[in-house]
Amino acid sequence: MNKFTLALMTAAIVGLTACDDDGKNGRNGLDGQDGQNGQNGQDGQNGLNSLITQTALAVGDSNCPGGGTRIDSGLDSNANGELDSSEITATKYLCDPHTPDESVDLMANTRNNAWFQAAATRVSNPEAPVLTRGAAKNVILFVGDGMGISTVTAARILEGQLKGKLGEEHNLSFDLFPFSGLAKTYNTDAQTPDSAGTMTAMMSGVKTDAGVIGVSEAIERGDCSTVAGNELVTALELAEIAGKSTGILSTARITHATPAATYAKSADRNWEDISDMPAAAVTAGCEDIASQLVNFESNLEARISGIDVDGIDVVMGGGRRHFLPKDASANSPDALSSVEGDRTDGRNLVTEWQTQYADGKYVFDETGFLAIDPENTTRLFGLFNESHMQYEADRNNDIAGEPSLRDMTAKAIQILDNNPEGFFMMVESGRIDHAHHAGNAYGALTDAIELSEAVAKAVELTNPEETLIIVTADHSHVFTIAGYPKRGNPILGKVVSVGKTSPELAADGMPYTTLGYTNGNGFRDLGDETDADAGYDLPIKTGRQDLLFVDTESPGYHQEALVPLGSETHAGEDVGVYAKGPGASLVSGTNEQNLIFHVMDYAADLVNAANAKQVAP
Amino acid sequence: MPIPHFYTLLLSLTLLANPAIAERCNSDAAIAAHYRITEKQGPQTRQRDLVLWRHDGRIAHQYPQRDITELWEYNTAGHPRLLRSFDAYQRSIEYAPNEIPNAASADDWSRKQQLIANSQIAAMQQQASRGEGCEQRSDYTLDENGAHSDLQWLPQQRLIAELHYQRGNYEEHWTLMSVNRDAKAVAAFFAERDAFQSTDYSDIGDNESDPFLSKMINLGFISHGASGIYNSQGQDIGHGHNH
Repeated sequence: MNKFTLALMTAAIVGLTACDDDGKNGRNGLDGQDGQNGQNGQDGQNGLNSLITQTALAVGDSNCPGGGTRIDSGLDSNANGELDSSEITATKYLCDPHTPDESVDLMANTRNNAWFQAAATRVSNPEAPVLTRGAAKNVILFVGDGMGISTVTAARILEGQLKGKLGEEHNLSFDLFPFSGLAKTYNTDAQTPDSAGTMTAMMSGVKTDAGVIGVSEAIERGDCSTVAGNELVTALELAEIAGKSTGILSTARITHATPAATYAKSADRNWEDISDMPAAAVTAGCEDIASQLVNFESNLEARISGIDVDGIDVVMGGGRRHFLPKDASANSPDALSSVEGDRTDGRNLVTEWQTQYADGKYVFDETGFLAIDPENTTRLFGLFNESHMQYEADRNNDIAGEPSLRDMTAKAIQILDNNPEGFFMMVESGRIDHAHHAGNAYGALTDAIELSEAVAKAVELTNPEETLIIVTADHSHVFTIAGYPKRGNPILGKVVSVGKTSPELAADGMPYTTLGYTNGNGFRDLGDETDADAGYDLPIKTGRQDLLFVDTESPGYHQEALVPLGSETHAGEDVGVYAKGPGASLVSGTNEQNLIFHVMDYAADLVNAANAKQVAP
Repeated sequence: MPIPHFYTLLLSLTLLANPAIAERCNSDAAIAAHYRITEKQGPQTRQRDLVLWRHDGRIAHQYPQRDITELWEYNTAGHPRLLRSFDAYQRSIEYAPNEIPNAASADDWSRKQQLIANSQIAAMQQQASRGEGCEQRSDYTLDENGAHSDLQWLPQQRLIAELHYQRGNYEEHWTLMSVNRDAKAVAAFFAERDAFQSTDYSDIGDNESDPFLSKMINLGFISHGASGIYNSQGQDIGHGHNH
């Protein structure tokens, strides 16, 4: 610091004194002569130095942004010749001229970016949670069987690419739902679950064992005697009791595990008809799943006293074999087998249903389906295949034609929404799982895309203020999206890296695909074959294959697999849950899968509404 | 390793001795034709059996030593459909109708129905034909790629009577041991297997806790090579999935 010191002298001050007496006051005497001058007083002490310091200030100083000089002044109290900070009594600034900069725009480089704008828009328009118990008049639960996170991602990319986009930025219909979370899928006895246990959890709010339907974990799989007392009530049953309309749709057999868990109680998921059951189970009084579907109304009323229900209003899917007797005369016109039915008890459950519901309409093909007028139909039963319905990619090869999942969804809603009390519907895309088991990504992804279309149709046909829609999966598959393909690389193709135009080669010198499976049957090159199951009749071929001249984007290509198994397996990681409508905001975070029941119950107040309908016996 | 081929010879003479057979000589009639197959590779000899069953448009290939039977039928869409029975377990697996074009061809069906495709017979040189009606027999030979094949063919019954194949020190010999035309017995054979608990192939993956299916998942399903019948291209002609 530069200092400039100035010294000043101060003058001494001399003090004077006067005398007096206390006698009678006399006259004033004569003025005396002037006295002599006294001696000079002593010199006073030296005064304090007053110091001034000047300090140069750099550009950017807080007091002088353009730079300048700070002037500090004060007395040198300690006489050290310097103006210490404690001695400063006054400070002045002498600032240089300064023109301040304009304020910095922190987001200038990002504000106009399309990614930034899209996300900002999403955040600026949050969906307000509707958390009023019972606010949902309708509930629709969509289940993509085996639709794990990687399946959702790959399906999204494939659909985008089929629409001419790069793909990754595309969204499936439910990607745009405002609320989502994760569900832990394990069964009470299995780390990697099956559909029976997981769907029971979703429909009843109770996790249970793998392989059992609508019963708690206290049951022993395959033991009929353990069913009684362990039955769980489902969301569909509660909705039915509450007076809502109910519906079940599936592209699998309607007696398959996922749809069955909405209406049946069974010690084994495979007891789809009486011929599938051990004699002891039949003797002990257990009822096969198909029979439970047709007898749903009477069974529910028998199990819960004081209720009056009218049965499931809309049922569509596959699985005719479990409803028909093992008698060629009962074959449908489009039967696949010489004898379509499997039932060994001689019952024809289709005709039983028609007798029970004279107002109901039964259809077995697309023509019959299209002829249904939903506004004048109160009850619909559609069985479109002997076993599972076709893969979406293979639907055109069906003998008599089948409706798509989106068309079934639309028709069902148009029938169910005729009830002013609302409705509950479960829609399963059942064959995503089957295509994965066959190791055929094309089949799985095209079915997942069709599920997305069905969801979009449901959104279109329902009032968002009164309809809770949840989309989820029961479990995942060992299906991976791997490598470092460049943006927009065909999701079914071989990995082509960023900046490259030809496929990357692995360490074995051969190209590899983005999609693959950890286990299963492995490689098949079936060209235009759209039936994923066609690959089962070939020997297992796992490990690396030379894909150089193989069109991996063709429908009949089955991805490579590592571990040789006769069928690709489920996976144990969490699955996504996507929701919109009243109560949807309860879908948040990572939860046990059985939470989904409770979200539906809260949204539609199912338990309370059902309880209110009970009449004391 | 390329798997050897055909065949020769001899006829089981008792087969057509019964005149009653003649009137039942309908290639579409119920039948169980029992073959013994002998393979020789140098000093080593191996024998196995194969029974061809036909009934009401359906076909079965029974492999007794392996307790496996493959049952085929055309579905209403004209595609062959396979039910593979694991006889020892009394369980079966249903395959999806095979929609691969070659498998749906008449030639492929003839291969299932006769154990040798019409196209394969046509490729051989006919040597002689004798007998009439049901008893008609035709001899065929084929020399191809260093291999020699002899076929004795029963055209009216669409059955192989004898078949011999030789290439180097490998020989394979098929003999028709017996024919059962008891329609009730044949029907019962099919009915017994139809009654087995069956599972869709697409459902296998969801049944890992089923001991039988779990074994199938872990070991893979016995598919290729089950018949042991191959053509000169090394293709298994006992199956319909060589495409």
